[in-house]
Amino acid sequence: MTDQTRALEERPPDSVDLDLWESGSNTPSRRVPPQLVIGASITALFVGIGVLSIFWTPYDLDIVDVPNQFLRPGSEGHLLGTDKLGRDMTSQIMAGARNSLLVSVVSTVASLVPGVLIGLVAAGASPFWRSIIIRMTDIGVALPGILVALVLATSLGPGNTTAIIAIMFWFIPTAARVTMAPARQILSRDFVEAARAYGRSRKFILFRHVLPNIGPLIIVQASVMFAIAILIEAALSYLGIGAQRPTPSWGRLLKEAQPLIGQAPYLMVIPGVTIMLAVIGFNLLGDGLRTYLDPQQSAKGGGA
Amino acid sequence: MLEINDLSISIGPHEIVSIEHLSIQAGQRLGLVGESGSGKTMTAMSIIGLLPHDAVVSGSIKISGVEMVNRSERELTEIRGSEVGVIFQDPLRALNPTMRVGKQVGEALRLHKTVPKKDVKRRTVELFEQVQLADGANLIRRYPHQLSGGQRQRVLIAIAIAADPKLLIADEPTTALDVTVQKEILELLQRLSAERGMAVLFVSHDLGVIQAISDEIAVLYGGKLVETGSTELVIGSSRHRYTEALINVNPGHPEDISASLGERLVTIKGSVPAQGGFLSGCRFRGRCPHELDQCAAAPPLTSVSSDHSFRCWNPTELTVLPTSEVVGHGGSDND
Repeated sequence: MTDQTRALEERPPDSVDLDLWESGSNTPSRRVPPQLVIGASITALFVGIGVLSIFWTPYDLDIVDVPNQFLRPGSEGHLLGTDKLGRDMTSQIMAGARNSLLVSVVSTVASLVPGVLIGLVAAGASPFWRSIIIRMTDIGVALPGILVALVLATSLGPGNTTAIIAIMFWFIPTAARVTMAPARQILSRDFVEAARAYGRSRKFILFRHVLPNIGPLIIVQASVMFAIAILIEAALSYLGIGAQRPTPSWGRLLKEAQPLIGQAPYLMVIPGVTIMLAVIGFNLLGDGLRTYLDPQQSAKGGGA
Repeated sequence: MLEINDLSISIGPHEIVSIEHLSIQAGQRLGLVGESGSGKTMTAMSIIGLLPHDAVVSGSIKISGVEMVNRSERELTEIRGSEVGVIFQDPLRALNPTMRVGKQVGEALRLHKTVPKKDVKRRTVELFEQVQLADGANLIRRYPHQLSGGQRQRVLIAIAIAADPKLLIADEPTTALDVTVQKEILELLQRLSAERGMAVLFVSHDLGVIQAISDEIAVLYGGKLVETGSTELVIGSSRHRYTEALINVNPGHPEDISASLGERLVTIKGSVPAQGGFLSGCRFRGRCPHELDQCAAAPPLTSVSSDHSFRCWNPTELTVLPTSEVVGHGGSDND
């Protein structure tokens, strides 16, 4: 495709620079950016603790030990202290990691699959259908997520399922939009034209040529979504429409600690700091991956 | 093999291409030459139905007697690759950067033919041999960016001929390559077309390249054919003023260039008008140095012989020259 055809084709948005492989892939050394190392470490720690908590926690989660209530962090046998019923905070935080992990993984995967699919279909669709899909994702993005979650909670009742569905409402339109723009850019590339010229169907091109080329972007998007999902899960549990006792959750720990903020502020600080660390970990991971998977950036020294 | 009749391609109110007749026989190589914006790529892509969404095509394009215009996308998908192969200008951009080249060729092999899975690798290496890629067994594991420009173009050619198409469309296949590689690729295409009896539609703006590979030449300007005929006749005794101008702007061989050092390069004044900007009548009007009043009316088709015709009111007068001398003038890299 050279002169006229190219000029006449409508221009896809140039918002994302997608030339991931074109010029930089021969760079001899690929430096691992520091934020990737830090992010991956925090994430690994978080995942490790979550998995460990399935098999072992220092204390049984629901053992009530009133005589030992409100032990400060650092107390004998209770590293992070105990709450108003003497339950061990270390165990609660560990188990909360498990729940956060579950909700964020399930909601991210369950959003990315349909979201990416919708984005790909929209990218390959005719302008008419594409504009319809774009408007629908616009509506999805415009819906206030917390309100959607509250409405869902009134019909489904509070719990992890409600949190996951609410997060999906949030993420699917975002995933579709994040996929569509770069997918359209790939579709305007010559190798797509070439694939069509030797007889490839549209579907094949979308899945075998476009998807692998936007793969790095989707991986980065996934890690950012994990972080946001952790935050939303905590927020929903804090509002009382996420996990309920006995399901452990960081957001719920925050909620329970709120009335006691004067008496035992550490009950609020500990889960708060934990949430913050987990989110920072995933964000650094996403940032690091973006730098690492983009050779042009890493060649410049990896500042994102 | 390929026969185009009354082809018209429009986008919105503008008719981009209007071709009354163009045909290629099996094993024949036709060069379609024209400036940027002359509609040559549109013409080539209309054969396999790869045009922008809003392009309207009418007329008839037949491949081995089968009509291609107004086919459904599904039918076209069948024909693309199996009947018609295409190679593109920039081989790096025409290959998927995330797939090994062997796999890309292998998939083209399996797409239109039933090749058993275990034979794909062997057949891919065979194809690589046919396009003169040495060490095919090793190359198939490489990614496109690990190959040289010439190697990439050979891989693309291998993909294009994988399903034994009867027609190969080559859209500026040598423009992105340096001159020595260009020559090798031209020779390869020539050999493949002779060996396989494959018709080739060679699209280029470079008259020298076209002359080196084509049996026949069609000169396109503003979406209309201005002169068609055998390579010798079109280059050697061109009649249309546009063809004449194209030949004159070619700087020619280094020895010719050194003789004319210090002189200004010959150019065609102005540039191709934007769509809708053409004057009535002959499309070259406004840029042509030999314009007459009657050029405001559409020029009639004049047939010089059975294989040479043109459309011009004020054609170049034939000066009797030994053809071979003049032919040598147009080429920059053909010998």
